[in-house]
Amino acid sequence: MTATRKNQVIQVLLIDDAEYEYVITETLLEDVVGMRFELTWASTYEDGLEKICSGNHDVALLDYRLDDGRTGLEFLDETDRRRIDCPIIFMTNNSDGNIDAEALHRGASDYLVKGEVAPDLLGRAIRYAIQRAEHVIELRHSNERYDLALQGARDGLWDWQLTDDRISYSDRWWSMLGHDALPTDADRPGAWLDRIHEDDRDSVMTAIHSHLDGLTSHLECEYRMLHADGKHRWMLTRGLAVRDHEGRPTRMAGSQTDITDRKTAVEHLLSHVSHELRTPLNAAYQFLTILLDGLAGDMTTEQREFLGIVLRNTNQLRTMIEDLMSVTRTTTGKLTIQPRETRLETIISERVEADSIGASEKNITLTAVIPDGLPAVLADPNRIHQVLGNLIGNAIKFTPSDGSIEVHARIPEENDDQLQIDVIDTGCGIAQDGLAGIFEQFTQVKRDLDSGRDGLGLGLYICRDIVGRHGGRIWARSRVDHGSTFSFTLPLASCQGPGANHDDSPGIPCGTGTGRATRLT
Amino acid sequence: MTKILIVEDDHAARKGLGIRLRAHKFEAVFAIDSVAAVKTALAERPDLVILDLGLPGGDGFRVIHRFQDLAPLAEMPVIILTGRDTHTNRQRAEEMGVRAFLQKPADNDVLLARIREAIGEKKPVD
Repeated sequence: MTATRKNQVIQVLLIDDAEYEYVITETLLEDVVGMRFELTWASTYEDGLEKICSGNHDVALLDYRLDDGRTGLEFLDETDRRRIDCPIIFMTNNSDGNIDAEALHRGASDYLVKGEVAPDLLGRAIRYAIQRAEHVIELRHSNERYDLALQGARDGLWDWQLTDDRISYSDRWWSMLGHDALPTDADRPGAWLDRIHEDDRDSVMTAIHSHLDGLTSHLECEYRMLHADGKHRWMLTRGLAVRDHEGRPTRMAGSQTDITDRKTAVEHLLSHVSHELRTPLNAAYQFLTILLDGLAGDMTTEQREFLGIVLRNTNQLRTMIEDLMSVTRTTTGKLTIQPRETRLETIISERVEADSIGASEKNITLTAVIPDGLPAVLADPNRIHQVLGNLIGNAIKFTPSDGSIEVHARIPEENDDQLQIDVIDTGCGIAQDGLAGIFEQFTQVKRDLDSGRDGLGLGLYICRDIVGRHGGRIWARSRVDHGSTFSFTLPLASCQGPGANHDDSPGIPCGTGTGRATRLT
Repeated sequence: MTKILIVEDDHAARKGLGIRLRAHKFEAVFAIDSVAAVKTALAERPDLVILDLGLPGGDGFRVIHRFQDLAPLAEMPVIILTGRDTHTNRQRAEEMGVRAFLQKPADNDVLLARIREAIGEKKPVD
């Protein structure tokens, strides 16, 4: 509606059963300076309704008393029901009491008292009514757009009043969790937090507190949430805190999106790609080792050396594929840990034996230092194999020739219900600023000029995830030019929690994570 | 001589594995799909089967079921060697009594160790 533009004739509808009001109004409108009007008169309720529904008018002037004893208030209700956009100015008499307030409540945009209306007052009231109506329409369109966008995006909304710890969720927020009716805890933050998967709760709380403390620009976290059907769905929440003048958060609001399908699709894609990559990789590995093992005849030292380089790169590719699948499972929560009573000395000596071939190529001494009578831990042997393989592999990579690597296992003095494993190298070390994000995804610390990029930067991230899922902790200390120590802890089997499996058998062997080093001689 | 049936549809993998096994004094026989796997197993009576999961004519799990349904093959040890995901397939294989689940490319030493365990050899033959 653009009726307020200059030189435009404003279409005014008068709904009043008295003809003299029509005459008076027409006179008043003629005297308004700077605006031109065309007045239409409707003398009855029905006539007024028909004309206002036609949409040809920019503004309506509505009398309180209409024909047949009906009132302008009823008329307002009717236009509200019919979602008429035309702004209505209510006309009352002095004797009509509180009708004016009632009219505004029912949707009139203004009211004027008959007999007190001067031309400039009427002109101003009409101009403001039209402007307000335009804003209302704009706002409604904007809300509709927003609703459409939300429906299209299938997002749910939440709004958390931190001052009194109340939270409101949109209907969509609930329906995406399978709740068509609101549950009893619908206005508590607990409704949200209690439905988050146990394993994800800590990371969500950390993300929330980091944002409330001003450490992050916005809240963003992914987690699994309990659906009404008893299964978990993957959700992504994004939010922003509102702060008072002292920077204290008072309110936080945001959206929640169901990303289960996306997660599943990524996993399927990676699983498929990984399978397809393994077939040519398998053939390359087999024939390389056939040549290197002399099964196809003798080779010169140089040929052997070059093929050794190819093999090492092939092994690197294999590790990358394994890391990629591991990290996919980590992010989809599907990396399963099957803890059982496990003797760590067996795993460490197996690992050290397997990796000693790679170490000896660089003339690095790799030894395990394990005291007698070490108690068993509660751990998944395959996963711990993977962690140790990663830490030792890194140590070999970053330790120069003639260095040494030691793997220690011991009960730490400060915490005797855990076992601590240290992988200590005499490598080039990592600078303090490099240590900070070393366990994050895609972090590749450049430890020396020649090391280059030979991994996805996922290994330590996977290690942290695996150790964390065991209830342990992983950390690193380092001094440049002196070496690094990577340590992690595992709970002792004697201090086990619920769900522990006492089966001490190693299960059927699994190729994953073993035998990265291959005989080259 | 210990006879091993290799069920593998990828030509290069079949050939490479055959060379490796013969080098370690095993006899290798081959099948390239799930139907041939059962036929060859019945004809050759191998001491062990190394089985791929993704096969033409039905996957490796169906082959194991067929083995188990046929009295002469029911006790034959099976090692799975596949490019498929360990995570989703290993447990199922374990429940079906498979002796080892290896993912391609499997380390030669690990594969040979599993073969020896499966056929009950205590010491390496070579």
